[in-house]
Amino acid sequence: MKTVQEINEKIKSGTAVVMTAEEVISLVREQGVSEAAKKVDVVTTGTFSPMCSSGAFLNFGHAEPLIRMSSVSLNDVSCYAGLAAVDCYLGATELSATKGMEYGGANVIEELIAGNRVHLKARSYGTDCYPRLEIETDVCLEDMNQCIMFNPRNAYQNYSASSNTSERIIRTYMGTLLPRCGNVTYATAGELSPLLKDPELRTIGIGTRIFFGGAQGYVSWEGTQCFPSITADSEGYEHIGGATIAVTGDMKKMSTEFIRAARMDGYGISLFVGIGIPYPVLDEDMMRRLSASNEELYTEVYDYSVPLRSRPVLRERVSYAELRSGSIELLGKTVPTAPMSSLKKARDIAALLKKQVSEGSFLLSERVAPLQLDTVKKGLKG
Amino acid sequence: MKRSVKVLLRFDQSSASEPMIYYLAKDYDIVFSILQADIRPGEGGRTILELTGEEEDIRRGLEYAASKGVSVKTLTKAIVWDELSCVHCGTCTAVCTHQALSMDPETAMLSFNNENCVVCEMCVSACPTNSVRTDFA
Repeated sequence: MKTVQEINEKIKSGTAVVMTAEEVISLVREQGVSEAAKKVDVVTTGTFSPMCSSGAFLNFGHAEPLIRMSSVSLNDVSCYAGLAAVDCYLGATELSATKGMEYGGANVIEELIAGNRVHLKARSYGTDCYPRLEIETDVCLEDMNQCIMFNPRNAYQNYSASSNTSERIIRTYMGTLLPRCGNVTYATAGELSPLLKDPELRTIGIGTRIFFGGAQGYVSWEGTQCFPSITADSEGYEHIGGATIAVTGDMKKMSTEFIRAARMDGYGISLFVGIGIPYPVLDEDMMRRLSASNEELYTEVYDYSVPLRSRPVLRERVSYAELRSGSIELLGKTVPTAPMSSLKKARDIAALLKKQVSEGSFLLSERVAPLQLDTVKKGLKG
Repeated sequence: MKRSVKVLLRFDQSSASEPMIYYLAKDYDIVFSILQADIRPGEGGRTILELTGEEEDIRRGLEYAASKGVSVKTLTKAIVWDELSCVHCGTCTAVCTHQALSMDPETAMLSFNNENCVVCEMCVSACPTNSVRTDFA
């Protein structure tokens, strides 16, 4: 048994043993869970995937004379301005009024992080205290006050794979799905994926420090549609469900290496978000979870040609090792698979986080409160 | 010596009505596959073909097409992959049925093999970061 404080002391003194989730899998195979739990203090994870529920609160600073912005756009992408005078929320999936699906909020975010100027247009209905009716100017991150990325749902613990049984090509947020199950797409980093390594959410909670878009950010709350579960399928294999986290970070400290716009053909705009979580190896059970490999982590394959909540399951269990092999068996034929989530970037993040923790520039944090675990999935009537 | 080339043929109003591909196959012994076609009789249009045959036959066949008023352009590098902008997500590989774009299982990095590419251009619209484009230069 180790505590987070003990591990942080080791990090500060430069003696902590830090490994990525991939490295620790090999170590456990060679030496066993018990030995590995003694040897290793911190295990780093990473993911880099399109995460639609993302965006940023921006504060432009006050203009002269004063304006209470009631409608705001950045590069013709509408922002939500139902906040205080010069605050707005720029949502990643909002589409451009002029370029449609080719450009959206995520592109504005990427341009701002790259250091570029974007074009601000704002209007107001005018009040005694805020008389100005409109403003048009260029802004960049450096010129603004706070630019807080706040993503209500990121880092899905696990996500189902998708295929298409219909006769036509369908273009989805899971990529372009070819007819008659011509392909299967999947969107997690598997054994490197942060929340898959702590399925019981033992250490993740409000206040957990994370690697977020190249900066240090924090878990702010449970994510929207956070439904953590560990269930057994009909043959007794364990499936880890869909926890999510809401995350906050300083956009000014982020990098386009780890935040990129994503244009999903026929669907719209999303945001590639790079997230990594360093886990303290508290005990053997924690190490057992941290060293779960792609062979032991499963998802399902759903038929995305049925746009219903009750879309059919085409395969109840497929391991990430199979998905990553390049093809899987589906309905009696071999179907090629393709990832949507960058394993290369996930590895880059886990390796960078390992370096930062080893150097002492990234300390682990204890959560302030646990995430709510007893959520029940509700649908919408109407 | 047999070889394969990809060509872009542009037809005007009159050449669009010629049974060009029939003669290329029959008189010049060229095996072709149509990678892309949008030709309307009386209007014109374009097609991208992959031609396989004797080098001399292909040369003569394309001369024949040009003599009938077809603009002929040999495509040497139709799909361009911008490695610096690519995030190696792999989304493009879902639509690349010829495995020109593929993921290296070791490095998890995308690679592009122009030899396998049939210029179907599915990857151009599938790529989330606009890192794949068509280049007719």
